[in-house]
Amino acid sequence: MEHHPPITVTPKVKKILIWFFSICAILMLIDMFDLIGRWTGSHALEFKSHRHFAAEGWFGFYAVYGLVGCVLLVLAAKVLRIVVMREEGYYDR
Amino acid sequence: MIGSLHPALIFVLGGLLAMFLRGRARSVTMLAIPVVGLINLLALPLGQHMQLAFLDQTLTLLRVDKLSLLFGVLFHIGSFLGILYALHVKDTVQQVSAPVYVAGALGAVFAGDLLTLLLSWEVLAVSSVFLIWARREKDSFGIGLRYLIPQLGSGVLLMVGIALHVGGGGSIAFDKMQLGNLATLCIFLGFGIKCAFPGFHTWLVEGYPGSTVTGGVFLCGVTTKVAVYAMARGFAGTEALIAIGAVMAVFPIFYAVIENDLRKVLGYSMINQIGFMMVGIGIGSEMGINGAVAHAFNDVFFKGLLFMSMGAVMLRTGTMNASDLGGLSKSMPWTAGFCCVGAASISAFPLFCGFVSKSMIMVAAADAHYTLVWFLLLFAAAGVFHHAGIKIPFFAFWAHDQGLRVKEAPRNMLLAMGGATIMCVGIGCFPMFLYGNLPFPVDYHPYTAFHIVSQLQLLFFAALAFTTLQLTGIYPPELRSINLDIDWFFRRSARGIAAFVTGPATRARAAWNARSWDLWVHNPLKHPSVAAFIRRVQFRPLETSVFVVITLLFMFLAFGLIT
Repeated sequence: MEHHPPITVTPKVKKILIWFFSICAILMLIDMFDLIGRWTGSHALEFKSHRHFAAEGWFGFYAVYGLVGCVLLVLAAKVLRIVVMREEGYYDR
Repeated sequence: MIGSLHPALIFVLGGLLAMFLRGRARSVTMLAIPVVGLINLLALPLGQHMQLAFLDQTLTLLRVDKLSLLFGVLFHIGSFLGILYALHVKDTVQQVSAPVYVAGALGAVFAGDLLTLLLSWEVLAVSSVFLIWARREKDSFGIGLRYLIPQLGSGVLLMVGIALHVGGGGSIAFDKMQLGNLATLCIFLGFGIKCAFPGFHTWLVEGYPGSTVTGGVFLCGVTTKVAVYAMARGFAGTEALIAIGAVMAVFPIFYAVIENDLRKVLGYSMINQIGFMMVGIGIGSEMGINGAVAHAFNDVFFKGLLFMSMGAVMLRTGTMNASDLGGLSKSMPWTAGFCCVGAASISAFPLFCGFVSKSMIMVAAADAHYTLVWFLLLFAAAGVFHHAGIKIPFFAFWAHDQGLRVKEAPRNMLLAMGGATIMCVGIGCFPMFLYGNLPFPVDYHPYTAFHIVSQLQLLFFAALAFTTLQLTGIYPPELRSINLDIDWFFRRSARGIAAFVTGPATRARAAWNARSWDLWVHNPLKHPSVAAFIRRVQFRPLETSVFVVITLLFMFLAFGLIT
């Protein structure tokens, strides 16, 4: 199994990636508003006030959950592949 | 006349009419079916209608209330888009099966009693399998059969359950049931098979990708939605559904990551979405059921859109393998765009329909203090974006450009996809139209700063995971392969069982063909069948003696019964 990346990083792709990483960083930083709101008591800034679980209030909770969750998902899927992958004509033998 | 017909009747008549028409006449008629149907549907008065007496029970063929009306409208709009998508199809089998299939769905959704439900249930199974068999490839028959058997099995379970239920003094009316005895368990599992419960899900994962280009669009939007409706009607609040739904939401996403056939990925994705709906129904609160029903409504459009775009790709390229696709955004820009809309909707991106329904289920779970379930569903939501939101559009239209240059999808398909896009974006931006038609009053506002920001964070960072894993080469490559699922057990063992059952018959036949009467007369012990039996006694004495004893017992019983 070769592990070559299917996307060749052309300058155009690089530009898209830079935009993408920037948006990710900005989204992560938006959580700062909620924290500032909590410290200063400003209800307008504290957008996470109606959260159901305390964990949701942690800085970057959703971002980290999405990132870590998906990384674990892919790694676990790789393990699953070792167990269940077969050639295409498997059932026709 | 209009405003008093059973919705299913219009589809059945339309389908039969389509059988005798050709060309433009057929196209116009078929498009007219859901239009006429919808006009009729919206004019139907609420309540129980078309009741008839049958064996001292009252059947209700047409029960119109908020829940059934919503699903009725859903099937009309969905089938219009599906028919438009399939307008170019000349195959009469498909063009008749599709409306009859929808008729079955309408019959089920408007059924006021269990018997009408059962009849519609069977119509669903029998009509839909043709959309798989119509593909007419060498493995289509097997795929269709492996689809049909669980569907009919579901019907049998339903039949047994209804018989036990009514026989035990229960009412034949189709209303909320309490899961507690064998009768309700049978009905629950009957519904569950069509919902693709874990362990009973392989018919979906194998059947939907095995259907025709246009058949897949109908299949994805009908059977499972009818099953979700049935669960919502019959087993709302059943706690078992929460656990089942959570499992359904989580396990398919692992398969979806490593699956090569993109329509199979969509199949696994379906199970994931239905899992969310099961959780919502299982919680049973107003928010939960509203969320589940709203999500079922949206699912028809975004799943339909995804199946439509993949169908277009399959039509133009002849393949559905991620390993063989890529670079199609240049030749199929519209299809690519529509696919992205579907992908955004299924991932619950803000401004798309999934955003306004999936979160209702999560809020319901949190309100009912199902913490673990909430975290699992959040994981599943991130996972969905990964395989349906990113993988499908990316590997079909971008990724490694293999030099495939094809035509854009035919105009009718593009129009259908456009229609589904309007639904996805329309509901996403103006959810009040959907909310107003949900079974319970809605006290939920999806567009809060918290929801928008948290959802964008979840999705963008899930995308970040995908990007990073791809760039570092850790992401599993798309390879030509299949993955074994739970059907391995009965597909592999089926051969063994078949051999065991037909073995004696095969041997007897061989013996008959040998027909060595001389041997029988002169030296019976040398005759192949006798020799085989002696060998069997020698090497497998236990098996043989058990066989002999059981045979003798049966002969005894038979003798006893006869005398």
